[in-house]
This record gives sequence, C-alpha cells and structure tokens, in this order.
Amino acid sequence: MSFGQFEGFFVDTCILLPQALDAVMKACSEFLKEYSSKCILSSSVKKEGLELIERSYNTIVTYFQSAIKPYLIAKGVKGLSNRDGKLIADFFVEQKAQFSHLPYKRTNIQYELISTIETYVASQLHSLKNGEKMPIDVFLGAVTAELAIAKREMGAPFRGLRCEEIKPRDSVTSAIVIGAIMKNPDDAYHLASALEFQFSRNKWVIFVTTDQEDILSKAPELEEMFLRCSRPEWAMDYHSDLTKNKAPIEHAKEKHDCTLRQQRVIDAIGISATPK
Amino acid sequence: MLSLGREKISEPLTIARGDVSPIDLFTIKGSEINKDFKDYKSALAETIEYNLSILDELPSLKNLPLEEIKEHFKKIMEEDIRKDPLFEKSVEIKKYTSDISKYLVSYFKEVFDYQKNKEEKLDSRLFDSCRLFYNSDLPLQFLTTIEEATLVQKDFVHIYEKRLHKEHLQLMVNRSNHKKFGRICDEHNRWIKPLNEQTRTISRLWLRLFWYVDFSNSSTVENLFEVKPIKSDCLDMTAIQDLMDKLKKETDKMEGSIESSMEFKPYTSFEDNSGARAIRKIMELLSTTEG
Repeated sequence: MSFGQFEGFFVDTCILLPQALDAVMKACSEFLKEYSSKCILSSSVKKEGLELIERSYNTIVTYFQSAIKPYLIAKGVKGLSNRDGKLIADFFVEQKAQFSHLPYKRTNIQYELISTIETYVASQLHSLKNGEKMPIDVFLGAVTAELAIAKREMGAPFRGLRCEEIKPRDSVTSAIVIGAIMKNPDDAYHLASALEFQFSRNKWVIFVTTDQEDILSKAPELEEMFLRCSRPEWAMDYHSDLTKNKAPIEHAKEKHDCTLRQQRVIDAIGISATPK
Repeated sequence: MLSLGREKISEPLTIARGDVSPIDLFTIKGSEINKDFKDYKSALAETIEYNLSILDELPSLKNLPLEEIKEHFKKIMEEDIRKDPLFEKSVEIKKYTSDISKYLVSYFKEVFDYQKNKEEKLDSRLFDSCRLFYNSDLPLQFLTTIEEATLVQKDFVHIYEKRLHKEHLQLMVNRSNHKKFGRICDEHNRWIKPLNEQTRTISRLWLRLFWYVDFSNSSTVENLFEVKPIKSDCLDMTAIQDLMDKLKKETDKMEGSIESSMEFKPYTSFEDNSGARAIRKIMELLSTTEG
C-alpha cells in the first residue's frame, strides 16, 4: 500500500493576523515560525485578509476626517499638545452618547469601534513631547502616515507566503455549505478552495484556523467530507495522521459505504476523473 | 510614538520633485554605459528637464498658465536640487557604477546611504500626502491610492537593499574573478532594470497627481507647494480619477513584480504598535458585524 503525500497547510486570515490574545498569538507565531515553508494561502483568503486590513484602516481615517477634524475646527482648536487630552476625551464622550438610542448589540459594536479609535488617538496624543504643539493637519497627517505604515506591515505576511490562485467549482462550495451547514459564504469558499486543491493535486492538505465558531465547530463534518481542519497547535499531529492514508483520490474511491456528505463531495469533485 | 512630521510643522510641503535616479546597473570598465557617464552639471540639467517634462503631462490647469509655472520651476528648481543630498549621492553613484570593480567599496558606501535617504524621502512623501488629505475635501480613494504607491516603493527599497547586501558580499569575494564578477553584475542588471522602470513610472504618475491637485489650488506660482485648503471644485475630477486609476494599475503591477522577492515575515506582536492594534481590533469588529 502506498501512502498519501502531504501538500501543505492552508492558512486562514486569523493565523496570519492572530487576535491580540497572548495564547492565540503565541500558538500562531510558533506554528508559522516552524512551518511557514509548508504553508499555502488561497487567493480568496489573501484577498479577504488584505481587504479587511484596508477597510479597517479606512474606517479609522474616515473617522478622523469626518468626525475628529470638524470637531476640533468647530472648537477653534489650532493645535494639539499632550495636555489637550481632556478636549479629546470630551469629544469621545459626546460621540458615544449618540449611540444610546441604538439596539444593544449594535450599540456595543459601535461603542467598541469608537473606543478602539479613542485608545489609539490617546496613545498618539500622549506620545507628543512636553511643550510640543502640532497643528491639527500635522497631527492627523502624522498619525495617519504611521497608521498607513502599520497597515502595510500587517499585509506583509499575506504577500510573502506561497499563494495559489484557486477558483473552486460552485458544486464543491455547495457541498461544503450544505454538508457542514456553513453560515459564512466566505469561509465556505476558503474551505472549498482547499478541498478543490487537495483533490486536483491528489495530496493531502490541512486547513489551519483558530475560528472556533464558524469552522472548527464543524471540523467533524468537514473531516467526513475529506477536509481536515485544525488549530495551529495540533496541525502537525494531524499531518502525521493523514499521511498514513492513501492519496486523497484513492482514499475517497475506496469508500464503499459513503455517507451523503461524502457522496456530495465525490460527485462535486468528479473523483473518477484522472488526477492532474 | 509619533515620528513622522515632527520636524515639518512650519515647513511647506516638500517640492516633491522627481529624481532622475541613478542608473542602478553595475558596469565593468569598457562597457557601453561607461560612455553615458554624466557630470554633475549635465545631471542637474537632466533632472530639471525631467521635471519640466512632467508639467507637460498634467491635465490642463484653469487657474495658472503652464508657461508661468515652467518659468518659476526653472528659477527654484536648480537651487532645490543642489541642496538635495539625494541628488548629490545619485551623481556620485553614477560615477562609481561606471566601473564597479574599481570603485566597489565607494559604490556600496554611497548606495547604502542613498537608499537610506530615499526611504526618508518616501516617508516624507507619505506624510505630505496625508497632510494634504486633511486639508482637502478629496475622497479617501485619493489618499489610499497615493499612499499605496509610496508604500510599494518603500517595500522595493527594502528588497533592493537586502539584495545589495548579498551582492556586495558576492562581488567582494569574486573581485579577482572577472568572469564570475561579470556574471553577478549581469544578474543584478537583469533583475533591476524592469523594476527600475516600474518605480520610475509610479513616481512620475504620483507627481502628476500630486502636482495637479496642488497647482490647481494655487492662486499664484509663489503659492505652489504651500500648505493650503484643497478644494475638489478646483479640479477636474474625471482627470483625477483617470490619474488615480493609472497609478493604482502601476502600483498593482509593481506589487506583483516584487512579491516573489518578499520574504515571509509573520506578525508576532501588536504590543509595540498601537496603530496595528487598532486596525486588528477593528478587523474583528467588522468581521463580527458582517459575519
């Protein structure tokens, strides 16, 4: 019996840009440090990651331009120093008060969003040297330029990793959506990309993520559909396990008592076709 | 910690002049490029001419006659260029590239300084773009386009610098082996030539966009490059969109060209960077609202 080969770890956005929690950050960093040469980025994850960074940056800059700047101008402020904290704090108090009429969940998100910007502005304002006063356009310009550099650095992991242009067939994406009852179509597309790639190369892949709610909670169903998903801490253990199997196509072909989920994938992929 | 812009509070925007960058090719004595060696004066004339030629590419200005701007440029540019350490370095480097085997040590000393100056200049451009944006009613797309074009060039500077460090070592080791030395030069030149052209195209488009916005909002030539309110009413927004589209296209092209040279660098901490922390938190919030 010949064993299947391993092609690589498909990484999710949350692996390349982990949440700022120590444990998650550590697990992702260690995984990438050790196995980055075996990591693959699907074109859809790359696009999603870079666009999300861009939109987050745009949210902050738009807020500076449309809310903070007009407020400071209306107050007749010419320049800012590290002693103007109260002025900025008052602005954020006013802003948050506007959300009191919104439903709780929505208020909470808006509140957190503005609090995030508030924390950032406070750290930048307090970083000014004593006695230094900056015109508003210089302060906002400098803060934005630094933010743009941070944005670029955050995009770097998406640019330096092996990327595969994959367009999974609709039938494969549908099989994932129906089989694992996926709520997020983007996640279904990323998983379908990994699955499509696995069968086109006839080599095993593992989808690595920390997304418990949308992906890892469906790991048993996805495994049944021939796609292994894992947290970064266990990815290598699953790798050893997977390569004890035959290659993906042979493995799927030999399933005599296919479940409905498996049959959908087999039909969608067209397993009888000769591997590339 | 705020670092950009601190020294620029009372200064006007930088002239954002176009540089005729050094020919980043290594040449062994006797080759064709040696004939193209230019002295300081001709390099100065060439740079002025280069900048004047960009003026001809601007969308038509309604407020100021182009000839008047050209005359003003001729007056101010020579002094501005002479004062620019980047220009001086580029002339020096050109001298050394004419025979890299002879000037190996001097060349690399100058070229690393040049790269450092170049990076500072790009940072300065980034700040100028952001500052101009906050003095304007221009759409966010203007800022993101112009800023991405600057940041991709900055990435290129880093990639180029890393490569130069490796090549420096290789050239030193093979200094007495003419054949190997030549091969390293050829490889370098093959790699740098298309990238150099791309970065120059981006730089030229960047200037066209920045100048058009600034000039269209200037009441007199003395007012050029001064910090002032920028009104989109003074601009042909179709022309702006066209310039932005072209710049984005070239930026994406350059992005694709340098991507294979980028090393994978995982993001390991948000602790030292409050901006990255803010972006990451907002990413989470946006995912929650959309997920």
